[in-house]
Amino acid sequence: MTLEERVIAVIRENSEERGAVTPASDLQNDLGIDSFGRIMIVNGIEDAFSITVDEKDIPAIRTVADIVTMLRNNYGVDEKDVCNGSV
Amino acid sequence: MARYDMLDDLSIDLSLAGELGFNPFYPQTEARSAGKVLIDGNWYIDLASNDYLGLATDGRLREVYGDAIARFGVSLCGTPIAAGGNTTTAEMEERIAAFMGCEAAMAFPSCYQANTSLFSSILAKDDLAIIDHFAHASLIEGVKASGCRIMPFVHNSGDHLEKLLGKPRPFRRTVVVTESVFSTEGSIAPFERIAALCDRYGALPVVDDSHGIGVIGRNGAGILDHSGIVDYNGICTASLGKALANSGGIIAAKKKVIEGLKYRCPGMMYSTAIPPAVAGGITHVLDRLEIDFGRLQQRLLENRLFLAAACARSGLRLQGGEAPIISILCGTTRETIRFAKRLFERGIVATPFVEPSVPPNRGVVRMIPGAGISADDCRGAAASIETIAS
Repeated sequence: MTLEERVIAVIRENSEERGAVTPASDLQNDLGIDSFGRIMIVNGIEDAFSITVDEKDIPAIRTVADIVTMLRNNYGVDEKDVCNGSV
Repeated sequence: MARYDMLDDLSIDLSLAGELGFNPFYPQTEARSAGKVLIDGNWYIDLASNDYLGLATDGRLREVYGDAIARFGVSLCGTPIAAGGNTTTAEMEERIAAFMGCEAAMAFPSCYQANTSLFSSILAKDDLAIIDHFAHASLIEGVKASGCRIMPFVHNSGDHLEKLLGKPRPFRRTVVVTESVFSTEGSIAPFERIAALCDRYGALPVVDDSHGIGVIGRNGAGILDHSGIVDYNGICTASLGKALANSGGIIAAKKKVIEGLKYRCPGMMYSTAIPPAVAGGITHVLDRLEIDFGRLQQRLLENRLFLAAACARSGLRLQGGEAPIISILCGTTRETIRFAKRLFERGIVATPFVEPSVPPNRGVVRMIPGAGISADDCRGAAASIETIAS
């Protein structure tokens, strides 16, 4: 499983979304996720990757790919962590 | 920021309403009779109010109000902790607590106030509120105001809730917050499981039964009876202005909890008490439910089935829900308000819910076909809906 796939799985587990979710999906416009739903996804990301997301990082999240970028650049999460099962 | 910029910031853009020639919000009712409202001199079928059982215009209820006003006046002009306490309200609180399956209750001017006041009284920054994603604004605002950590859970998902509860977290108290019947869609919370999960993981369940009381459970007793829960170790709140056809709100729980809250809830302690006439009216409705609930519920369900069938025939998309609420999925804010306008033009008032009340592009028009709607009006509403959809 790639990091992108893991993030998409976390979004599915932590939202009511049952349609297609891709890296390009816009959380609000494509997935209909409101501000409260965004909190739910961020909590899910924190639990899944054992991190605490800085509040300053949240406004920059628009798409699924933005979450992946945030995890790589700001929290040092990479494919290796997903592949070795640590997250 | 200059003061004049701040004032501009506080204004709202109503251009869409102007463009559509229709603003569905803040309609001004001039009079109301069973199942109908008078607006701008015209009578409309009332599918917008929460008068599920059609009791708000009941003749005997008006007499009860008159009797209480003769005894107390229209208000005691005091807070419950001081001059506002009275025997009629105390009797109502005792009756409604037993009705809901709790030991004690305390009345508030509104359920919104009950909810916002409750969480600030029981939660602080060291606590956690796990709350259904689609919970009512008053519950969300309440937990936000408490300063606690907030974790929404996927709507009505016991599995997601269990996942959140099962992970060890360093909080002092954990509460799980939900509604019984979700007001924009009519789904019913799996509360038996939610309460059981709270028992297993040491959390306090809080359920807002505003759209459940008088609607589900035996004699309309609400979510605890509906879920088969006895000796409830949690807190219920409810509006008294929906199926119970009066106004105000209630918090019900174990007696020791209510006694504590009576000295901790500023939203109750420092607000003018509900008028005794209102309390008397609620007790009267509880009496009526013991006698009439089966008949009124039957009428309510028949109306719901009839209108839901008309919507389905018309190809309208409905949100799934077991409660007597029909929510038509309309999409964008524009589409939602336009649909409400078409209903209004054909003599029907219904309630549109648009962003931010619902997620983006998931606007709905809600209809509550209460027991007060006559069979003729129900047929007329169904015909109008079919015409609009075609």
